[in-house]
Amino acid sequence: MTESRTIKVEALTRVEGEGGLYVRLEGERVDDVKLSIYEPPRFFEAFLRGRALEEVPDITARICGICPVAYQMSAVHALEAALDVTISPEIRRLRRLLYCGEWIESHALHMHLLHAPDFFGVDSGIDLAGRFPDEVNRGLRLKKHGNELLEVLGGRAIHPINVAVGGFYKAPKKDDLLRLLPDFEWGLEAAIATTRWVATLDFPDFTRAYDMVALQHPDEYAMNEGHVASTSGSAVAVEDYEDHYEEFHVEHSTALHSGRTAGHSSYHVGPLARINLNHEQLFPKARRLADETGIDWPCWNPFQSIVARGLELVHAYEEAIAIIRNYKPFSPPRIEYQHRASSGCAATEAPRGLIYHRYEVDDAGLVTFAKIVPPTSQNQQQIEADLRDWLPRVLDGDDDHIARECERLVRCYDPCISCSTHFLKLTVDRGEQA
Amino acid sequence: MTNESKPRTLFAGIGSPHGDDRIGWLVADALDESMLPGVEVRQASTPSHVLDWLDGFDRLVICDACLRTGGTDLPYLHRWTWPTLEVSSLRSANSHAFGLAQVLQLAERLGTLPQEVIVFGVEGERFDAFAELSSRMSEAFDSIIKVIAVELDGACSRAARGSKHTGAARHA
Repeated sequence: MTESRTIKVEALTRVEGEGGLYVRLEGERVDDVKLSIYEPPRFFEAFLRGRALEEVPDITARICGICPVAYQMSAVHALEAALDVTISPEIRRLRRLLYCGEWIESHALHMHLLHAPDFFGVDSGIDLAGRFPDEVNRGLRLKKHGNELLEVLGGRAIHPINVAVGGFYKAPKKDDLLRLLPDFEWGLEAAIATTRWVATLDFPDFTRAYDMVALQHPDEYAMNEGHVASTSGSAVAVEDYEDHYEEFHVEHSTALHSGRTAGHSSYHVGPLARINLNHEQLFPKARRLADETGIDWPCWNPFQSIVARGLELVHAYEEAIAIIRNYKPFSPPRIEYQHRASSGCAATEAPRGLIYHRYEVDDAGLVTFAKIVPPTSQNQQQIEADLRDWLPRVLDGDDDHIARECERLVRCYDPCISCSTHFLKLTVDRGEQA
Repeated sequence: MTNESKPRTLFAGIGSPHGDDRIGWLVADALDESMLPGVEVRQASTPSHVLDWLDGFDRLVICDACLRTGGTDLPYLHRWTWPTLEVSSLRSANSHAFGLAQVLQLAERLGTLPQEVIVFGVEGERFDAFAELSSRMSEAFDSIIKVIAVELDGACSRAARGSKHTGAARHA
């Protein structure tokens, strides 16, 4: 007789949005794993149709309260591709600075409050703060720096409104940026200390043969542009992304899954993919720290994504400091353009991984088609594949233990289910079957 | 700004652009316009934003939408004094990795939470993407502002004059 178990996580914790996890086991064999995202899709793409293209950065920024910049950056670059707009180097640098702010805020929050508790056997960031108040306080200060930078560049704390197709509505004042420098210089050293701390965590011995995908750029650590590279050796232009990566519907999720067009195989996006592909292009302190961690890059252990986030945190501080120090107010802050019927696409690197946008616009400047592929949608299939490999290692406990271990793996991806449609719920099915 | 004039109360309206989840932001807008003395007004898109702003305040007042539980004509306006289990069990209109109760617990643990914390939870019913406020919430808006403004040093009349909505909210 083979024992059959079904494990359900009704609501995954410490992830953004709502979803569930269903696992069915036949003895020691994993029979089925489903990451069930059940929040209704938000139909943002349909909502954009018929809107003036100038509204797109503001609307897409509101899809997610955590990563508005990623949506804005991808949207404006895609629309600029459609309108054949070439932005100035000054605008380009300021956009990287804006993205640094979002990476700092998002990575600091995830590392300290959402992911680190998993390595100390505590349930939450609150419990972690009881044991490591200095580290958690440090993380909160870093998070605050990211938000303050977004406020200066984006015009306000929530959903930046200063980003425009063609550039910015208004270039920031030098003094407003310089005022941030002392905190950012402290933050750089604090980010290094944080990364050293997480590099010493006790990581499970779990590696997988991933196909990791991220933007790659010849001259810099890719954020806003580049080609779509992978650890399997492929490199495709962003314009060809849809020929190589495809979204498809699965019954158990209201968010589309993604896979390679050939065979719908899974792939992995996010900080670990970026570091694996691009760590040679990290800023100097981050680059040296990558060697110092003792991890032999490329790294194939998803649990060590917390170290990858730390390295990107350091990089973001270094780059932000460099841009702020060299910043000179410039004009025009926005490149003019003419409406024309056309289409364009772009991919950028959200904190959680590659995000792709494509738009079609008419000659009146109205959006006629929009496609948005967020990172969590792309990682869903990979998370399920990881769980199939991870589960046999954690079956030596009760259902609560198994559920906790599954959630732990899912959190390595920092999923933002809010973006992919919107939280996680595990079901363990234990029955007996002849 | 001198230390003497530094606001001692922080008001944070938590919200999103989606239907009745707008209420926190709209209340913040109305309170900001009315320029209540000694009150700093902020809008947040996630509860964790509030952690950035707590330094130096004696009092924290929060307004956030929550899911409708009653069958009344007008939205309930809950007023809770932290700590309370009711905020911990609150079904927020949005699912955040780090919810409001967790934010308050964390700040308490780290010693950064102001001495007095009041949470206003407004029951909403419509949370569709980019939807306007529900008619019930619109009707209740003025009353919600009045109750919260009274909390913020009794400046209800100034705040109410700044709003465009009419109606009444039930106050639980």
